[in-house]
Amino acid sequence: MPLQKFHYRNLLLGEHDVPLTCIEQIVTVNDHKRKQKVLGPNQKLKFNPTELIIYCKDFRIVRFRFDESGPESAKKVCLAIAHYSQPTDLQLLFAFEYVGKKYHNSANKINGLPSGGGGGGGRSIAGSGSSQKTPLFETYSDWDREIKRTGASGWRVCSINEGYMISTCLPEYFVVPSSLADQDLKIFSHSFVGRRMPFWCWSHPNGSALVRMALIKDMLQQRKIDQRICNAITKSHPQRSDVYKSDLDKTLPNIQEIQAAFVKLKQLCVNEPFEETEEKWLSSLESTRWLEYVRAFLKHSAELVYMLESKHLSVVLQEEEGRDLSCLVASLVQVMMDPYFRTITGFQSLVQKEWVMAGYQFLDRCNHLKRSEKESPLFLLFLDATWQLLEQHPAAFEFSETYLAVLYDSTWIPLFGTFLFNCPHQRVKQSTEFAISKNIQLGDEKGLKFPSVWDWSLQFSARDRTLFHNPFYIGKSAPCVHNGSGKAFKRTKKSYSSTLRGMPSSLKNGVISDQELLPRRNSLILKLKPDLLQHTDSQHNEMEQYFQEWFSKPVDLHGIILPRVSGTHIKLWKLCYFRWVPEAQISLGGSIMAFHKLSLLADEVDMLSRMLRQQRGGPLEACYAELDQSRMYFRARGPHDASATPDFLSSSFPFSPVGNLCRRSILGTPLSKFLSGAKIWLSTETLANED
Amino acid sequence: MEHIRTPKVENVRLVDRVSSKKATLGTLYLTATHVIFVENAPDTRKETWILHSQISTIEKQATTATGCPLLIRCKNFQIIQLVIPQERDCHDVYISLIRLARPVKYEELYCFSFNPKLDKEEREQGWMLIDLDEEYKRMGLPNNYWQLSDVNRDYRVCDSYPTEVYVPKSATAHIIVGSSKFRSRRRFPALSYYYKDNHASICRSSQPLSGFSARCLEDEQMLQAIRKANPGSDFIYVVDTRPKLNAMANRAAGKGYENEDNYSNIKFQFIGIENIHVMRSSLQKMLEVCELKSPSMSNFLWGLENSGWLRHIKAIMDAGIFIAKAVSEEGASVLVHCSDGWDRTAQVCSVASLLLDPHYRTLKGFMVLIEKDWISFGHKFNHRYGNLDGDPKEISPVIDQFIECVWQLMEQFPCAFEFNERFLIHIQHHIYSCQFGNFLCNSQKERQELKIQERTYSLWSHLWKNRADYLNPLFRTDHGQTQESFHLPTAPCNFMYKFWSGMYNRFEKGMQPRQSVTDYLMAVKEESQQLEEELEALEERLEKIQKVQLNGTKVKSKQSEPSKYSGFSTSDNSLANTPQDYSGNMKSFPSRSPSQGDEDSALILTQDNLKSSDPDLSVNSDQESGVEDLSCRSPSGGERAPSEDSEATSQRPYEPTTSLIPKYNIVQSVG
Repeated sequence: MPLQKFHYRNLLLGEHDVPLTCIEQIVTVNDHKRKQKVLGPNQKLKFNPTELIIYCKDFRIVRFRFDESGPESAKKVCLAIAHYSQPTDLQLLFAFEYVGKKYHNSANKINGLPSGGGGGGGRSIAGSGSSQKTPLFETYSDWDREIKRTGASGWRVCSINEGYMISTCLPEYFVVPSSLADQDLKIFSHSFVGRRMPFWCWSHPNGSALVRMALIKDMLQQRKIDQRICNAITKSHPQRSDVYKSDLDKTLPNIQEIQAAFVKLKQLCVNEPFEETEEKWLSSLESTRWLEYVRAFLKHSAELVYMLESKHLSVVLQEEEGRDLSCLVASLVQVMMDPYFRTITGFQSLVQKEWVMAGYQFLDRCNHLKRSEKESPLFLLFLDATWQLLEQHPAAFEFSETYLAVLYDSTWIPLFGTFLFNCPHQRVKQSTEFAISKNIQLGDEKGLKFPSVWDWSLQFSARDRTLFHNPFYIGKSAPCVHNGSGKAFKRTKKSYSSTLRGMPSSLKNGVISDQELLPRRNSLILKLKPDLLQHTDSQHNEMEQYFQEWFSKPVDLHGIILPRVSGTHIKLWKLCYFRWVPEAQISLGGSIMAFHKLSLLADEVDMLSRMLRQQRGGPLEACYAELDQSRMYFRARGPHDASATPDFLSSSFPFSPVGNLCRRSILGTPLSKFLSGAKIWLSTETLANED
Repeated sequence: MEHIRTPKVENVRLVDRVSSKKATLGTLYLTATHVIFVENAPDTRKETWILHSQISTIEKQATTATGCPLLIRCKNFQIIQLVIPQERDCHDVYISLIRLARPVKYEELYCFSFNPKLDKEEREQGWMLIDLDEEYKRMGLPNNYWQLSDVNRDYRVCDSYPTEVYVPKSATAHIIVGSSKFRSRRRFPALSYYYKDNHASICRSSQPLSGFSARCLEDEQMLQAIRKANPGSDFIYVVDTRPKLNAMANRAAGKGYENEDNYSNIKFQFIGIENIHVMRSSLQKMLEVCELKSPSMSNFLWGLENSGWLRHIKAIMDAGIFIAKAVSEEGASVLVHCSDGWDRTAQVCSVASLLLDPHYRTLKGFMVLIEKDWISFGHKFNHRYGNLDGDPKEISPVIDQFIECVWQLMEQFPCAFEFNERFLIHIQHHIYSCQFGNFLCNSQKERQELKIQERTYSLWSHLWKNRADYLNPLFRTDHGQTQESFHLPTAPCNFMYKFWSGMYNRFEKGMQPRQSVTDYLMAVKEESQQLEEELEALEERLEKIQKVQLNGTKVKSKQSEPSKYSGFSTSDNSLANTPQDYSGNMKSFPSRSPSQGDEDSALILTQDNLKSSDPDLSVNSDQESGVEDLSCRSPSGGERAPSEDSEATSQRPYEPTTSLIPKYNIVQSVG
């Protein structure tokens, strides 16, 4: 396979760099003695390694040969990597060192630090036209704006947790039913696991709300509190609809099962040589259970969409702690229901809202400290499920699958505060301690400010960032779904009818005529009050019918999108899992070829309409400014651009298996020299200084 | 008509495949060519048409309280479930259909009654669209090494071969006849594809009658002649596409494979593609998986693996890749055979040709390829696809597998093919429909005797006429990849091969997100074209305005204000420039569909399919609606009043709709 000319450059990392947090496992090998050892922390190595294999969390396998290096230094390097990649304390992670340095430096200068909170807001994508900041939901106003954006009446922002006085795993601000007073909430909170009382996620334009909460541990009070909460949620519904409770612990795979599936999936896709699994590929894939789990979450979320949309019921997600499966289900429901969350900014705000702020334990689940038994790839499962939706509705998303893969990889870069902590309180607490120990003056700030992953300019050039854009999704949607204004969501709702207006008349009379018959606000349904906690047969049929009807209509890309969840439709996310596997690469093939061609066309359409606008006498300067702002990575050079396809394209683009050091051509690089200074090289201090 | 026991049954229910509790009430009609179900619902009167020749099996199920269920499975993978109130009616329909679905004479087939209202000349021209003489010329033949032989004139040597075959110049009639006597069904080695870049060739034949020790001098000379026709290589590959065990078993029956010791300079290679019986049951198993309602992950993946279908597809692809590599990389000629040399051999030769030659990845080239490797070399269409009532053991999805191989390649190389998935699906449909004469009979000879070309129409010209519907908008002629053969790994891994839901589940409601990508893209392309035209028009107009200014006409100050042209405000403009806007438009593709004139009722299916993978197989669609649709969404159309009080416009009225539509049509037909 020829070396690839193309490299998607991460500004923070060299081609063969592996962040220490990205290391999954370190294996040392001695060819001659036929020995092999997995290196844990504080371990001894009884042989001189001839080879070092690093299994990475981003699915790379990096191999270093020590053929030309001194045996002792090779051993030292291996032990050093093992040591530093398994830190004993959170504050030893690179972000602390880095931010500490930044603060010290900025004490001399005045404004040396990127703005923003626990992570710094960060504009999403420069030059893209969608330069809104990602709301981080650290402040009262972010939540308030979200309430207004969704038009949720009957809900208010509650600040009883300011200073994390009530719960250390809830955000400082969250949203609750207006009818519940702060005083009541304070009393109730004691009954909930982790004092995680119910909090609001999102409201449908019909008023149905999505709420998540932990279990009520106080058995005596359980019934009473449950009743109070449900009544309050009902009161917040404009139609006083019932509440549908979904017990996620009972209906979905647990985090251990998901972790086990992921380990098997990695074994199959990344670690095992393909020849062994060739014949039994499909059944091996099945036996990992990964796709089954992806399917289960999509299916369950779609059922909740039905409850919210068609049954007009508010939905409460219940889970023991309410900070694992709830994150995934709450986000999937919102991606399906609200087009805003299918934009880049919206998606990022969703991750902030339902994961970072809601207390998803990134530190433990990602296992950054390599000692947690609690590792589980729920966040990846969410990205995978989102990818399935993207695959099934390619024009409904502003972002591309590259964006999703890059976002996953970013969880392993220890520079960003976004994915480092178990909850916002942990950031504040740990970084305050750290600041005190390092003599950093925090002033009014609540803890240190770490760079945010949403500031993509830290990782990628403006041009490379255009690869995040889905060429199917250009145009009006971007300005249309503004964050932060109450009108925005309603405006997108209008496009229901605009899609219909564009329909050929023949179809209006024929196929989609049943559109009007859909029981959107069918009062009959509201009168029914079946026991919703049990799936009765008739209920099940009603739901089936809802899905069927939805699928038999043309999709409104600005409305609800639903996944198809039969086994035929759930697919393996090849770009993510196979991107470093040379055998899986199709040179000049794969969907990137379509992506390339599409980008050119999308760019051409964009360009032509800009030119038209210019002709029609729009302000000239604006036009010139615009002409330079393509949102596409691949650009048309003019109408009917016929320039050849770049020959570096492959099905793994923009990733490249060449980045995988197991290729022979890497042998002979003077790694020995490079690694002999391991002590200095591995010190986080020097890295921070280099910045 | 004499086989129709009852032409019409009322109050029949068509059961929804997805939720069996839903059913639509209607009337069932039996005609000489179709089963037609017409819904009672007065506003829609939706019609479902099934061609008799598409019917694969009819199953009468146990009578229930609501009536007598009848299950019809079609060869294009559609499944229809009807409930007929009276058992007696159901029996009549059942008996009639059994007979109608299994005609005994060719004359009963649809193509003999199908009349697309073309005159004689048009029909003849249709048959001339695909010309194999031209194709061999394109390959660079005849030349110093290869010549056209008339040895099979009047099918004297082999009745399942074409009369005109290319053979090595050094192969005399004596050698050919001698060799043919040593080959099953006298199918002697003949040229399938010539690779002019390096003189290597792909030849095809049937198995030799070697038994355990038999030899044939002429056959050995024949293979030597093939080797000598390629000066660049001192050996040829002989590829037996069967599993070794099968080939050895054939030796006991006096057939078998070439002994390397007897032939000079051959390299012999087995490639294990299973026989037609294995393939038939494999498809059966896969279709059972397809019939599952919302299968779980494990039902689907285990079922798919156990069917072995994708493994068989891979075996065919591997064989094709082996041959393409031998020809292009080693420069060696290859002789391919299986048992009779008309099933696996056809599959493998055509896959290899497709890999080697970009011409076969174009619309016309693909038709030529099927004409060359399948039709002319005696693939037994009638037996394999059960057009006439015959031995069910002869039926096997041989060409279906080839068509799927092409689709798998299209998935891996989305820009390498001029045609799209719809093209493949329509060809598959018509192989079974018997609406056109191309695929009738088992050999060229039979077709000639039946005077097919005088009595029926050609599918190729029909497809060509509607080629706009079959174009792949991603295709790039200038693209490196289309110029040469693919850069394929030795054998792509199993996980590269995917389940083709666009084919096997194509009647499932609302399928195919991927195909819709193509439709979106077509719409974007059209949009781009329109914008360009509008731009041109506006530029012209601007020129006019400037002229007016130069002439000293006083320009009202208002004119220069952008607000003046409120019709073009950016918000309006942006409405039309995103692909999402075409979600409506893509549904208009059906209207421009191929087959859809009233003549082509064979393709008429339920309206549900309007939303499914193959939206074009629709009924009653308005040929113009696509145009209408676009014109009303054009940025200028409708929103723009030509009567704006600017002097320029009044001097030269601008009529966007009239100027756009004709151009649009041109775009359509040129593609």
